[in-house]
Amino acid sequence: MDIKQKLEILGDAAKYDVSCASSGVNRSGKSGALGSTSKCGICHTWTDDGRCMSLLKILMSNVCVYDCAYCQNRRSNDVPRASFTPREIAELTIQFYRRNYIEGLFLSSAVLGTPEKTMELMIYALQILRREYRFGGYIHVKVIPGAPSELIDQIGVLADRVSVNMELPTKSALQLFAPDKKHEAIIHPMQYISDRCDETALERRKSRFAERFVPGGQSTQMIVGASRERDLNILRLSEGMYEQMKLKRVYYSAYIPVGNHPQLPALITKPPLLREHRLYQADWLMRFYYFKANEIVTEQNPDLDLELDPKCNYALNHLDLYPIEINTADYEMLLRIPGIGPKSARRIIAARKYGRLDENGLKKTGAVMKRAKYFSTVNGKYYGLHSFTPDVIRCLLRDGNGNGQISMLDDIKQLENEQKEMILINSNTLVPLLSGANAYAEAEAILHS
Amino acid sequence: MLIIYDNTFTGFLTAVFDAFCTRDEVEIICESRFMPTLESYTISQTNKEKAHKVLAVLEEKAGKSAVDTVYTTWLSHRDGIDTVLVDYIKLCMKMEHDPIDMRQNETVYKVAKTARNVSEECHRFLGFIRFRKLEDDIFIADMTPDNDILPLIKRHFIDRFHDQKFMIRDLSYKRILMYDGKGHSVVGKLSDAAVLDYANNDEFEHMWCSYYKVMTIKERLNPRCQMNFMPKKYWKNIIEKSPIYA
Repeated sequence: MDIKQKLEILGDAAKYDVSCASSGVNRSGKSGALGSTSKCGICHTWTDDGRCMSLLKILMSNVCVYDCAYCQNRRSNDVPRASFTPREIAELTIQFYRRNYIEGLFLSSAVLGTPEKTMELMIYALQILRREYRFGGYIHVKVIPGAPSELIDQIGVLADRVSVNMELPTKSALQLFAPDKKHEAIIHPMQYISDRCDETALERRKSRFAERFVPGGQSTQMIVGASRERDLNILRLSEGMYEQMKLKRVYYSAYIPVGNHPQLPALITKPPLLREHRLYQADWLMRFYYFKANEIVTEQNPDLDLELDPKCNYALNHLDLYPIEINTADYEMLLRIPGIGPKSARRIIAARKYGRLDENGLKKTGAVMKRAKYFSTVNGKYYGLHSFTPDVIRCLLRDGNGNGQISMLDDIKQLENEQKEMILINSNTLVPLLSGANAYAEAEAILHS
Repeated sequence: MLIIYDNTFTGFLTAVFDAFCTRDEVEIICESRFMPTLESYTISQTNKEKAHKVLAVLEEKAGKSAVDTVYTTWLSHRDGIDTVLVDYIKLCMKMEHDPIDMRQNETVYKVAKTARNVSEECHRFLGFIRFRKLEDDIFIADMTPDNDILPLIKRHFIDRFHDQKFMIRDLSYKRILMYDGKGHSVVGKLSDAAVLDYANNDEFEHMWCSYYKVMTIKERLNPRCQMNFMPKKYWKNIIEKSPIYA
């Protein structure tokens, strides 16, 4: 089999591993050598499914001894199999890099024999790149669950970022679908990498010649929609990993049916793309907007709303906090306004130094007025509707969320059809319970009052 | 009154100097964008000392960031940007610091938006440039940016491909960056963007294009998202999307 055929098989086998960032490390090029990295990461191309590609994402081998039910490379599946030699991987990476196709290498692998043997081959490939070719580009490598600490030490000084895939959000699901991958075999390397990162960070503060260990941090990935987990479990797990293990990213991958396990969704099931999108939005809220997981989803509402993004949903459920005055709120409060993100919030605070902002000024900071106007005041003026009630605001937000609804009354009819019930109390009025046939009439009454 | 300058940054700064010297309301415009009307105009003579003086005073009053902002915004070569920049420089002088955060102001807003547009295009092209191999191990890339970004991206490529001989041809602004693989580079005028005779048997190019095709997850096709990040206007120079392989 020639390299081109191997590349097609092993690239196709790797495409479900969604992490593809090339960020987190700033390393300038060396004189007479090849390669540098950029802290913000650089995207080189986008596939037809809209995902960005910045690394050469390949498996070293898809000859796997494990039989995980959700994976297309499982032992019992009939797919073409191939393996790269370490030298072939290094050569491919260098040649693609020279043509500016990629920022670097993303190397994962099926379990070739044992985790130790697989890791040793991957380490060899990275050593050829770093030591022989003096490659300075980005390397993201997957640590095989069950890998011993000595091998993690070796690979950590060669790579910029590592990950160990969580695969599934709960222990029971992992036990059911991937019995070969023990929970401890995944958690232990993650904890070890996190501890080593802390240790080397301390050493680097003492001496800048101390060896760098995984300078770009650690990430992980889990599959969403394969087992019957709630979004609450997923978000709490992510929050724990961000806070305790200081992970850089958690990736969520909508389950794409590849197998016929009786407990897995049927082969005709569409991947839950909208749910995955909402999870990423919730993940962003936790990382950049100072939200806690239990503010986004609760025991009573353990799943994310598919109609509205999590931030608008939070705002509608906590209307007592709003409207927020743009000219006096601090950074964290500004971030709670739907339509205002970190960039707009920073610009608002910087622009405030030159005088109070008016509506025109607020537009120029890049805030999305379509959403922000319902939850904020500018110099005391409210630019939303005259009635500050959650049901009507919810309709208007959904209207603007591109559901293709032309008239607001269609929204309310839909409300009626779906028999949604909302009880929300704001500081001034007790909003009536909307249900069934009364929804339409009630909402219209609210609007015109 | 109009002041016309040649198409260089030094010429622009000279015109700014001249504009500050006169007391009248002046507008500055670049020679290539000038259309003769009934309005009276003068042509400014490019003068290096005047240009340096403007930069020195600007840096002293408003800091290096203001100088960078002005240069980056000028590189956009948009219609009317010259006059906006004069107003911005006047604002810098008056306020004695870089007013880039004062987005409520129309002038600052336009400058900030344009500078951002140029920076974003720079960042995009760091990823979109595709080198094709010629004989003798020389790599050549073509690009057609909207803004004149070659001066801003050249350092990145020289730093990254330090041991590689390459050339980047800017087909919109007719410039070429040449690097010899040993630390020496030059940016020159591109007189004739000939279609070059590439080694069409570049196996790595074929491999990349076939790899690109298999990486698509068909259940998640989303051309709108793809075009949002990778506009179609750049596709002809992105090898995997170009007519040769697509």
